[in-house]
Amino acid sequence: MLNKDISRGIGLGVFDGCHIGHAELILALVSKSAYLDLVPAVYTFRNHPSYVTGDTGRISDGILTDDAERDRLLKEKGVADVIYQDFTETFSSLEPEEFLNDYIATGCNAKLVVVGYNFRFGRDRKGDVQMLSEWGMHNGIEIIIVKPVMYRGEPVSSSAIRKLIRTGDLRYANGMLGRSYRLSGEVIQGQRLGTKLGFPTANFYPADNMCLPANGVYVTRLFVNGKCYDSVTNIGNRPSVPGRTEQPVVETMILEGDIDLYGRKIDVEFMCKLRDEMQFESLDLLKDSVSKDVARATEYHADSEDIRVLGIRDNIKLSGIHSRRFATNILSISIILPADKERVSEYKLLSRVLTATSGKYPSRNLLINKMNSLYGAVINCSTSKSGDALTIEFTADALHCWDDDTYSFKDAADLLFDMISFPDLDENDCFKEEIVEAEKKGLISEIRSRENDKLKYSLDKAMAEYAGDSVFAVRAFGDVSVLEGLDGERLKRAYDRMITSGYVYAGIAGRFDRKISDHVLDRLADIFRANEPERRIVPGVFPGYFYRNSDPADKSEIRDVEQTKICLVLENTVGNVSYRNMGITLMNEILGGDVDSLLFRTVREELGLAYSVFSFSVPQMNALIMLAGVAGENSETAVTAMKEQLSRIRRGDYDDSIMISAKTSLRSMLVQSSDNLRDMMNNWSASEMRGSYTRVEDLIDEIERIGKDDLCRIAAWYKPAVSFIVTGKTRKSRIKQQG
Amino acid sequence: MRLLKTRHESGLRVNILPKSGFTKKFAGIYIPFGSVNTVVRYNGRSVRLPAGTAHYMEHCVFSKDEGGGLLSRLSAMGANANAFTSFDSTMYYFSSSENFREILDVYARAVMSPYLGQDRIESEREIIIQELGMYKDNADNSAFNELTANMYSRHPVRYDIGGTPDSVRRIRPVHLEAVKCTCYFPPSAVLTICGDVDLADVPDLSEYSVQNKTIDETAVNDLHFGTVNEPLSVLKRESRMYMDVAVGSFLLGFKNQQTAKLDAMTRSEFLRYKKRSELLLDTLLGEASDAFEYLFKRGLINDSFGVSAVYLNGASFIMIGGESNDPESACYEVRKILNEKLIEGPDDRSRNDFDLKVKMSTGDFVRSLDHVDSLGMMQSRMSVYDLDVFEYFGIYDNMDIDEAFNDLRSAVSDEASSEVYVFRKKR
Repeated sequence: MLNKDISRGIGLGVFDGCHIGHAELILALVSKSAYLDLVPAVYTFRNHPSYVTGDTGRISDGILTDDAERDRLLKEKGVADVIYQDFTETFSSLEPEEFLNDYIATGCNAKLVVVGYNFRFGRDRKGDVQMLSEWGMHNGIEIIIVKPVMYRGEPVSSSAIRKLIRTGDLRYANGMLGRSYRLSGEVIQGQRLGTKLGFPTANFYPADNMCLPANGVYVTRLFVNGKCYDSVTNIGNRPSVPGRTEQPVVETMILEGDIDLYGRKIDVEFMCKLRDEMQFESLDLLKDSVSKDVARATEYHADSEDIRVLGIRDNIKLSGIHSRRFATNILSISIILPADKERVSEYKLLSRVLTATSGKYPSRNLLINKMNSLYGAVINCSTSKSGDALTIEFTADALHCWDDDTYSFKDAADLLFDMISFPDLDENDCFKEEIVEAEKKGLISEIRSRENDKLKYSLDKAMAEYAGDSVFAVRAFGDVSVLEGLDGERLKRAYDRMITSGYVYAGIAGRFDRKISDHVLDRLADIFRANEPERRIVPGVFPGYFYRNSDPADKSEIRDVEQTKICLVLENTVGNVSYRNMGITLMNEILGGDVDSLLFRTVREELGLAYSVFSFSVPQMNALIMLAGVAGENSETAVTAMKEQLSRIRRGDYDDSIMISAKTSLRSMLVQSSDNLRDMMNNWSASEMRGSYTRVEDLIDEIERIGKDDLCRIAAWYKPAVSFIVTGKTRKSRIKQQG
Repeated sequence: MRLLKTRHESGLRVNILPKSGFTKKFAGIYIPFGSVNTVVRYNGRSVRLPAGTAHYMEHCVFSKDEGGGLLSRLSAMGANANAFTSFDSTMYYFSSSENFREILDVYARAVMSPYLGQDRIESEREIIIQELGMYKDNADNSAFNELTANMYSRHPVRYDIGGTPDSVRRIRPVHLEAVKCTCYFPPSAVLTICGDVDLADVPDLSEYSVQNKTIDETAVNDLHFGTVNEPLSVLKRESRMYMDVAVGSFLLGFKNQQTAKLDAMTRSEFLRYKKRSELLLDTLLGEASDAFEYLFKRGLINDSFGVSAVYLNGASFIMIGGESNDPESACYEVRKILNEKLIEGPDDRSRNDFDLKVKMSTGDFVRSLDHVDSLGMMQSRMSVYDLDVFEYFGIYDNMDIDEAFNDLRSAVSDEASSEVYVFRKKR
């Protein structure tokens, strides 16, 4: 029975596949629920409604996710509860209003309902989004209708994905899913014909109702016992060998070697299709063909720099980007915790204390010498804040090996793990006060020195004004008043919290091999407490979005500066909560993100008002920021000119060449990110945050499809929220004269 | 991986560093003309240039025109382009993953033929003055300029690379024209390209080569940058600046007493000297040193503390400093520690630390090869010494701490040092 005292935000739908369109819906649900202080829940059906309504055409291709998988994926995206309804004849005959009143408003105590643009409900699917909106208005329940999400120009839908899978277009289907399509089953004892031919396979029959890729051979990855193996898979009825099956069988060969998987539950992820199913006249011909399949799959895996899951232990996931192009490996371990003013400062200081010394190397000299002895391995710990979540990231950036075999990346990884797991503690099991005090002084001095740079200072002041006293106003670099009260004991408590209650995920990129990745996974599981089995740590509800509720504010401060510093913060009043921000990115690029932008071309080059003028967007704060340093007497002209550039985008009043240039520039940046391991890791980390992976070529496609009209619409979302201007004394005297 | 060196028929020196498997390609055009080059021979006579001329020239290459300027044009083609002027050179560079050959052609032609119309020159003047204003608000930049002005009485290193608003106002078309004709043409430039590139990517710049110019032939091979008779002593021992900062800072500078000896060294000797000095200073004062730990624990420095050295023809110096809540005590302690270390000489710990720093530095070098742009930029910078990056790797062999100590002892002298303090100005 549902607890009706809990107010809920409800996402309605079947959510088969939990694709990138569903992800947008869930994001709207969880972020708005956080804002309204509701528990985000999904109301869905245990069995696909089409089995009851008789509209089986929709699922004749099978379903994409079983209940357990769907549940896992929804919770991974921040949903707290999944409410299952048995879709029966009686239920299907409910009138739309009856369903909304009895089941949603009363049954779930819903204060918010989020649905997709094409959602239908009630008897004969009579209820639609129009009706739902009206019902919401009458009953004081907020309704959000999520627009269609497009992938390469096509609306994303579960049925479109099923069709793509059925035709074997896995790459396209995976793009819409935001992950690789997966089938699961228990390995059966076969005839061991594959083994006799030299190609041992693990075989299983997938569940009857699952959507099966077209018969043929695929490049795949096999998951068993939390480990992932490169593989190649045949799916079909085995037409070339004795014992042809009626039901298609999945036969997967691990490319690294034979592992006995009989009786085990395995998952197989499909990357792309190699060929259709064929009938061979002899076993020799079959063997030749399989050899070629194995060679092609091996080559695909070796050259593919896709993000892959390498293994999962205690729900801690290790992902990897394998690349033969670099001499370096990077290991990154992230721990997410809820952010507040106290914690941000605690972890900022802890990140410094943990990398200043360690239990094994209890002085700066010993620790740095150890890193130097590993050919300059760089071990780092940093903190960042995204919405209301704090991320502590440990990295080891080091060479894969040295020619004389005296060093390998495992040494650098071990140093990192030792630094995390054996900190330099005193006899009371607290961090040593001497180290804490020194790092504290250093950090406070650095925070204070931010004020030395008055452009940064104007930004800090403007953002503080913009975010008010919410957790969003807390900056990742820490707060002096909190830092001053920290000691070794409090830091130890923060450390224990990080080890035992943080949500942990890790990634490795470069030339690493299985030995290293297995070792990393072992050590992760040794150090950190297991992640929650279902719902990932979702501080507030992660990613939390900022909704501002204040009037616009214009602030200024007179300081001893040569140049006036201008910071303008504009707020996205529509609150564009989306994982798909390429429109905003492109709009910003045109505004002031590049040298071919309107701010650069106009404010700097045409008007000669500023040497440095630029803009950037902070999507989770729903903010767009413009910054400039100008001569004091030009500040008002400059502010007007800066605002006017955004107005030009709203009106579409700029040359097409600027749009083309901005797209070229973004495309170039995205393509070039694949040449840098750290950029590749950042892309992985962003995917991990949103729980789905977007390929670079898909982002480029999204950019190419954006038109001037789209940007007019996006620019219109932004309204002036805060301006903060730091002026020099000349301006002060001028104001006095005017005043 | 190896470097291919050639000289194009235009006279342009070309370095090609092929690195396949990467989409990014890099190109850097090195012009051996920077802010300290204050005199050029043009049409048979010496032209004295106001401070900031090299930087002004860089602006003129990128200056706006009807099409939005060179930067916009390059950006529209997919280039991530930029440039910087240093004391002794100007570097124009870009990276791109598409249209590489076309971009390089446009960029190289723009560098070789900057349009120096009065309109364009004037349009840049105010922007440059804005830029100088921005730097003036920066305490680190102001302290650095103060330090060089304290240490050098004659060498042009004493002036900001960008000049001053006054000197920028004095720059005339004739100054820029003189620079264009003596330095901005193929035989004096070095082009470095890196990535999936080959000789066919190099543009034909013959039309800009010396044969087509109507300038004094002698200016080509006999670039005269002015010689100065700079004393070994410093002009001023101390400066105190009061700025609107929250945290003060200090800079301690030592004028290198061996500058003349350095100027006479072969390129590889000089590079070895430079590297072992860097490694020794890092050993004595870097993050792993006991000096750093002592100063840090006392709250006298923060992570901004650092040591660096500048080596120019006729002007070499070492700088130590950073932010501090008590700049005077910090500077006093640093000087004291350095003097003590130099008297004591190497001990077991510093020997061990130094050897590990050599190891770290070699690892850093190998890691830098992972990036097309950093590799390309490293090679471009090597153009100053006419060396290739792989030769550079050889300088790590037989790095000797005793030799490094001797170098440093003979380089620094308290009498030839200067201190700059930045204090918080009362509001």
